[in-house]
Formats: sequence, C-alpha cells, structure tokens
Amino acid sequence: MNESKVSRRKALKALGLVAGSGAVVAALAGCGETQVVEVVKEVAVVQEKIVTVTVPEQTPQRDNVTIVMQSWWAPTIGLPFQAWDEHIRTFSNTSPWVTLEVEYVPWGDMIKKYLAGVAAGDVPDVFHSSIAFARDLWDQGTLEELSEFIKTTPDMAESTFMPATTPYRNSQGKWFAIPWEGFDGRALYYNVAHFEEAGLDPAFESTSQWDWDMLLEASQQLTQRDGDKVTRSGFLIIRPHMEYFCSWLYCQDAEFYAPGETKVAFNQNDAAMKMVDWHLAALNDHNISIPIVAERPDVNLFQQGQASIAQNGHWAISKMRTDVPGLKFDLMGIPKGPGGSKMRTVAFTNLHALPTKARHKDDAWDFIAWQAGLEQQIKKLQLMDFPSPRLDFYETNEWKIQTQRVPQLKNLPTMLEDGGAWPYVRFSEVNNTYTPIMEGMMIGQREVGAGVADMETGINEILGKAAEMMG
Amino acid sequence: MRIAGVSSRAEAGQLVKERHSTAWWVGNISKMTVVYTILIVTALVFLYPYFWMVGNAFKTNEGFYTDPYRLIPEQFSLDAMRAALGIGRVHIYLKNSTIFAVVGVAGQLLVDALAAFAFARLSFRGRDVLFVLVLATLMLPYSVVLIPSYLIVYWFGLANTYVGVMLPGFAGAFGIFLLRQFFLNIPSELEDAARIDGATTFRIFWQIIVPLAKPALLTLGLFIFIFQWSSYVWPLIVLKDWDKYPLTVGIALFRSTTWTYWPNILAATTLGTLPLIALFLLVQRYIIGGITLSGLKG
Amino acid sequence: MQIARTSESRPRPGWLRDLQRDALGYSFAGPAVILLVIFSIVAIVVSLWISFHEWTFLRDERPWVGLDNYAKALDDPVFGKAFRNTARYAAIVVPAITGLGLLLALIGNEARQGRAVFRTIFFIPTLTPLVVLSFLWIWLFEPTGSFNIVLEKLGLPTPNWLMDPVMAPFAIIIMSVWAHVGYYMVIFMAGLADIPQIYYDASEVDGANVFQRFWHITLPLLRNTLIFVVVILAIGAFQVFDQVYLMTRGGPDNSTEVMQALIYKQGFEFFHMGYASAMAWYLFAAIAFFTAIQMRIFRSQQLY
Repeated sequence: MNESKVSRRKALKALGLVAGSGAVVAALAGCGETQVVEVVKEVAVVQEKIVTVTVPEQTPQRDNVTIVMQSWWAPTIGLPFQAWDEHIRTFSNTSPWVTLEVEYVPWGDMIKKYLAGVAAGDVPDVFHSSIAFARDLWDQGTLEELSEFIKTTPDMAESTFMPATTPYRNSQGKWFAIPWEGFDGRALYYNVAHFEEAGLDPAFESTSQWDWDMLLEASQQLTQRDGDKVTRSGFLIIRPHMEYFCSWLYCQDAEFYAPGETKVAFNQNDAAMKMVDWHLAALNDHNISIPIVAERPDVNLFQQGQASIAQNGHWAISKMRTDVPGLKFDLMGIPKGPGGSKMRTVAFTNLHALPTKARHKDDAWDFIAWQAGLEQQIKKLQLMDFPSPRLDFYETNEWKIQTQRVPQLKNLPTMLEDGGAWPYVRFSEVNNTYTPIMEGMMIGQREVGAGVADMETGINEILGKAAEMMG
Repeated sequence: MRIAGVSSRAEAGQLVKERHSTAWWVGNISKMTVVYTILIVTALVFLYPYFWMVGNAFKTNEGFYTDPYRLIPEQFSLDAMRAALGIGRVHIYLKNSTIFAVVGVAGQLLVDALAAFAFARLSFRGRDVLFVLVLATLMLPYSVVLIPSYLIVYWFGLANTYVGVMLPGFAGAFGIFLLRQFFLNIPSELEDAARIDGATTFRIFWQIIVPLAKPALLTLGLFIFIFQWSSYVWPLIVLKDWDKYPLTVGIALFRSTTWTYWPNILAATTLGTLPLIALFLLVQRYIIGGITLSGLKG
Repeated sequence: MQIARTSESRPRPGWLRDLQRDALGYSFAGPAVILLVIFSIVAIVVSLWISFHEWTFLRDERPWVGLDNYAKALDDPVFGKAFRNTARYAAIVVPAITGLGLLLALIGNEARQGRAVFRTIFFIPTLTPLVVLSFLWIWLFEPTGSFNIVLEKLGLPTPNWLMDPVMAPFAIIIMSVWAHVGYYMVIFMAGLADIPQIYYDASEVDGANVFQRFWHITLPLLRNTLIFVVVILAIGAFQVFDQVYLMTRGGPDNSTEVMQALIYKQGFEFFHMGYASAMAWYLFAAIAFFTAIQMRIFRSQQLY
C-alpha cells in the first residue's frame, strides 16, 4: 500500500515537472517581466487543472495522512513561536492530504519522550532534533538515512547549506538530518551606552578587530568597583560551558577535535590552558567580574546593566530587544587570541530527522524539505528574527530588509563564517566529563595543566568508544 | 465524605482546649511572645519566595528583566496573566490537572485505605511480605522504571489517555504506609465492641476506622491532591495530545532552550498555586483537634 | 503489631477459618497490591533484568553482560562520590526535617490566634513547583544575593555558596529543608490530632510541664507517625534530584553529584540503561537496608 502511494506521488511529481518546464518555456517566450509572472500564474492554474484532471483517472482520492512532529517549539513560549506554529500548518496548501500534528515536548524532556516512543515502537514522523543528540541517535540506529530522499529533492543537497553544518548531520558519508533551525554561535554582547561612557568605540568595525588583551583592557575600563568589590562587571566571567570553551579555542585558530573526531586537539599550542588562564587572571588578578556562580542568570545581569560585556547565543538578539527595549547593545564574536588570525566562534544549527520507525516517511520528508526551503526560512526570519543555515538566504532582499530593522543581525554572517565545530559527538557524556574538571580549575581546586590533561584523557576515551562503535 | 462528623469532633476537641486555655493563657503572655516571634520570623522567610513569585507575575516583561529582585512592581501589569491564560492556555491545563487530582484523590484514598486496613488490622498469610513489597515500590529511582512502566501502559492501550495517567496512581505505597501507621494508633476497644455486636469487617472499616482516622485521611487526600497536581514526568511520557496535558507540563512548555518569558511562567505558577492554598486552608481546619474517646478508657 | 481478633459465631475447622481469614485480608489489600504489581513491581523486575544487559531502549541488540554493570559501578569514582554525597545529604536532611517539622507542628499548636495562617505559610513552599523555587534560590545564593547581604551585615564571611565545594552541599540542604519541612509539619499535625486529648487533660491536672508532657505523652504516642516520617524522608532523601539538577547540576567539581542524577544521566543521556539500572539497584539495596534498620529500631520500642 505504501509502495503504491509512493509511485502515485512520483507520478504526480513527474506531471508537475512537465507542467513546470512548460511554464519556463512559456516564460522564456514572453517579453516583459510582468508578463512572465502572469504566464507563470496561468501555467500554475493549468498545472492545477492537470493535477485535478489526472488524479481521478489514477485513483479516486489520496488517502488522508496525519504526520506527527515532535518538537519543543511550543506556541506557548511566546508570540513569535505562536506565529510560526500557525504558519507551518500551511504545509497542507502544498500537500492537501496531509494533516500536521505537533506533539509539544519541553526541551529538557525530548530525549526521554523519544526513548519511550522508540521502546514502544510508536515514534513521531518528524523529530526536531537538537545538535546535542542528533548524532547519538543516528549512531544508535534510530534515524533513517536520508541520502535517497536528498537525491530526489535537489534543494536539500549538501551545497544548499552552510558547510559548517555538514558534520552535524553526516557520518561516514551518510546523511541523517536536515538543518533548519538557527545558524547560531556564541557572541559577546556589549552595552553600547557603557562603551560610550567609557570612551570606547562601540562600532562593530572596531570591536571585531579586538584581541584578548584589548578585551581585558576594555573590561577594566568598564568595570565599576566599591573598594575591591565589583559593582558592575566589565566582562562577566561565567562557568565556561563547552560551547563557550570551544569558541575560545577557535579564536586562537585551535581545534576542539583532531581530524576524524576520534580524539580531541584542544590543547595543541596550549590553547585550552591559555583559555583557562586568561579567565582565571581576569577573575582573580584583574578583578573585572563578580565571582562566578553555578547557574548564573548572566543574561539578566547584562539586561539590568550590571555587566557591560556578557556572553550569549546569537539567538538571543530578538529576545533581548523585546525584553528591554531601551537597552542599546551590539555583539561581537570571540576576539582573536594568541595564534589566532581573527574573531571567531562556534557555529551550529538544530535539525529535523526522520525516525526509522516513522509511519509516513515520504510525507514527513516533504514536510522537512518544505520547512528547510528558502521560502519558509524567510518566513521564519520575518516572524521570529531567526537566521538560517541556508547559503542563499543571506543573498535575499528579505534578509537585507530585516537587518535594517534589526541592526544586530547584520554582522551575523561575518561572525559565523569559519564557525568552528560544536562538540556534537556524544555531547552529553563529553560534557559530563568536561564540566567538573572545568569547574575545578575555575575555582582553584585543580591545577590547570593537570586539569586539561585529565580532560583530554577523559574525553578521548569517550570519543574512542564512539569511533569503535561505528567501526 | 462526611466532613460534618469530623468538624463536630474537632470542635469538641477545641472546646476541651478552650476550657483549659483561659487560665493558661493569662499566665503565659511571655511564652506567647516568644512563640509568635519565632512564628513571624519564620513565616517571613517562608513567604518571601511567594511574594517574589506573585510580585513578578504582575510585572511587565521589561520590569522583570531590569529588576527581578523588586517585590512590588514599579509598573503593575496584567500582561503576564493575560499571556498565561491566552497563548499559555493555562485554563485548559487547570481543567486537566483538576481531573487528575480529584479522580486521583478519590481512587487512591479508597484503595489505600482498604489496603492499609488490611495491613494494620487484619492478619493473613503473607501480610508482612506483601507490605514489604508495597514499600519496595518507593525505593527504586524513577529513571529506571519509567520506560518499563510506560510500556505496560502502552500495551494496555492506555497511552495518551486520562486513564493511562491516573490508573497507576490509584494505589500508592506512601498512602498505604501513612494510613497503616494511623490505623495502628486507633485503640482496639471500639472495634472489639462492634465485633461482639456482630458487625462485619467491612462495616468496622467503614463505620469505625474510617471516621476515627479522618485527620489522617484528609491529610493523605491533601497530599495525593498535591502529588497529582505537581506530577510531571509520568503524564508527560503517557500523553501526546497537549489538550490533555496537566499544568506542570503545560508550564514547562513556556520554556525553550533560548526563550523564556519568566513573568508568564510565574503568572501561570501563581494561578496554579492558588487552588492548592485554598484547598489547604479548607482542609487544615479539620486536621487539628484530638480524638475524643467518649465512654472509653476513663 | 496489632492483630485483629476474629469473633466467630460457630466453630469451623481450622483450615477453613484460616482460608476465610486470608481471603478477607486479600480482598482488602487486593486492589492496591494488584495495581502496584502491574504498574510498579513488573517494571522493577524488568529493571533488574535490564541491569544484566547492555541496554539502550534504542537498539534491538542488547547483549547479556552478567554482573559487569555492577562491577563497573564499583570501579567508577563518580559513583562512589555520588553515593557518599547522597548518604551525607540523607544523614543531615532526615533528622533536620523531622526535628523542625515536629517543632513547627508543636509551636503551631501553641499559637492561639492565626494558627491557620501560620500553617499555611509553612506549607507554601511545598505547593510551589521546585523549578520555580530552585530558580529563586539560585539568586538568593548569588555572591551578592540576599543571603550574603545578611551575612555581611552580621560581619560574617560571605561564601560563594554554589561554587564552593564545601558550601554547595549545605546550600542544597538548606533549600531542601525549607522546601519540604511544611509537608512533614502537616503529617505531625495529623499525628498530634490522633492523640486523645484526655491524656493531656489528665497530665495538666497532675501538673506536668510542657517538656514532661512532650516526653511522656506526645513522643510515645507519636511513635507510629514518627516511623512513617523518618522512613519516608530517608527513602526520599536517597533519591534527591530536582533541586540538585536545577541549582548546581552536581557541581562544582562533582561536590553535589547525587545518585539519582547519576542514574538519570547514564540512562537517558548516555543511553546506558543497563548500567543505570545496576546503579539503581545498589541504591535500592541501600535504601532497603536503612529502612529495615529504622523499622527494627522503632519496633524494639513497641509501646502498645
């Protein structure tokens, strides 16, 4: 039954192609641009007619299908999410036989829910997969290989998307996910008013040229103290999480992974140690930040004007603007470090995947491809101010228009080009090894050299096992 | 539930206390001062987070993010409340949570009380082994039993149903244990007298034990209500349709990795806490007072 | 232990009487036991089975590894640390909540006016979701947060609570006691309500003071409630998770890593459900052991 449905759909697609090429020919034959549009419209109508005429000949009606997507993008998060949730239901304009059902699952419980679903053999058709677990789920054999689907949909080819996204969704030449959410990295957000007050040039052209020393120097100028006690942090030092740690490696032109991702390379040229040492010095010797705490709402301190520079994700631009409309801010990448050539950061995207046991793979694939298509990505930009992993996205007029409205978005492509790898292989496990050691170093419980060495050993063991598992 | 009987007994207990208190009260003003000082200071410590939650529920988004520590909003706003009840759909979740909690209380109180009575007052072969088995269900961390439990519910065809969420909660080791301890406290004289009068075991349970244990039953009812109300992981795993989600899961959907409007969450949480406070105020009156054993033991 | 006396109107053979007695017991305990067996015991047995395998819930192959997972846990330094942290947490939290809960229940009983208001206030933290409470306490424990502001005014040292490996466990403990004490206060209230008022009336006539009354009436008659509170608290304390996961995530440097969090991570984040189950069974054994000891201690002081 499934087979016949596929062939039916393929036949329809073929018809569509014929009609489409007819339209192109007609368009070429036409003279003015307006005419072309009209011709295309007309052909589209004809095309529709063809379809409606042809369908009854082949089968009386397509079976209605409900595809289920599991996602943490619930409309209850906020108005932009509600708008997007409404929008994706227009997919049924393209595939009228498809009803989209979204299973909303809180972000922190996605894996739990997915695990229970796989165990019961009751999985969604589309799985909104974070970069944090896509590769793990593929290695565990629960995701469908997409190479065949990609062949039938040229728009989803490798060349459509940022090269940095490839490792997150391809393992040993096999594709298992399509990027659609974000193209994000770590940035340093800075308070423009504080900069002007301290006589620093807040222009991106200037801050993007900074190096670590200049960051430290500027932070000292920005810090306000009452005696020894910091009352306003020039640069807020956090407990460095992995995404942040990686960004501080890439700005030294160092790498997190050795080629092949079976080992880490983060301490070549002492890159990891330099990163930790810089932060320890900033915290303990230069006193530019209040002490670090376990789970600091650091974004909030920045919003309250209690920190002049603070790290955050690129995704937070729009949220920051709506939370505190009066706050003047901009962002830079991580300033270039010793051995580095320019400001850099980590770059990543979240994905859509097809679970192996999904019931309606063809329609689910069409939906995935539709969401990752240029048109919907632009719609996402307009509704939510979110960028895209597509290369052609940044060439569009809509992007240029939006960056005029939201100036902080403008430098995003510059910051994210040459984005380094997000630590995507066995992220949870690696993170669990990384975090206690990093904490130990930051609070002076562990000596930096020994700590970094322990980190290397621990993470290499996990990566080695992962490589072994994949043969 | 025959609350009237309880209240009259509670009042009787109260009367006994009042009679003694008159002399006691006059002579102990200094003691009262100490008691109230401790109570008020502790109360402020306990209330602070609650004031904070309610205060922030009435702030604008900007008001919250620029000064979250402030208890009284600079600019009073209903935005968060409106968002919670609008796009937040809190009213739907409140309805579901109420269903889960009310049915849960009714079902579990009955099942637990019957079992607790058996474990406290009846003797049968394997009783102690069964009781240990009951207690053992509390001892294994939920992470390793969650999916097996879900698979059982799934195989019964109860996935994504209210019944699937509620049925396993109809028996609780916590409640059985609690009630057993209280039933053990009830002197056996009344029961013996009833037996001599030829009462069946069920009548003894229903007409003697249950009325005497009402403080415990009400306490347990309150706890089951709270437990069901704050239950999160289980309904999350069993349900798929967000129209069936309880408040806890609904509020969790306010958060994403990158975006969280805290005032909305705090408004929704405030709305979700009010019914519990009302319920507690209602129930706690009946938990006080003592058992008056009319005609027994001097 | 109380055993009901059966009153039979006419004599029956012993075996029939036994059977009848059993049937009565089973019919009362039956519904609960059946539900617990179907929805809990089966899952518990399955988890034991899983613990002898390499199990993910994702793959179809799940090789039998015997006791490897159990042996692996003993070699895992984080497991040892988490076990010690959990035991320390339980050793402090159980007596602290028991004592304070009883104290609040007694003091609340002494207050003539506004008793309901005070009880409600103490109960409030148990009504507010731990997510919200933890979020708030993170701010209270900030280096410049409310706690340290008070400590500074008193001229005391101001630790960086959640990033200090010595203080972080205590920060979690303080928060936990605060969050849970109201719950046990109410149980004690119900227990106190269960004590026949007549005993107090008699003792007042005898001229007993507050402490004598507490020692000779309240405490002995509260025994069954006390057993319940201590046992349930210990079982809960050994499985502490939410506030740790939300406030410190086990840090700094694993100083607040606890068993339940470790089991959760191994099972749901690293997909080592077999290993997680083995660790869970160690925890189970520990909880069962302590519960048995507690029951025994209390049983030896049987009163009536």
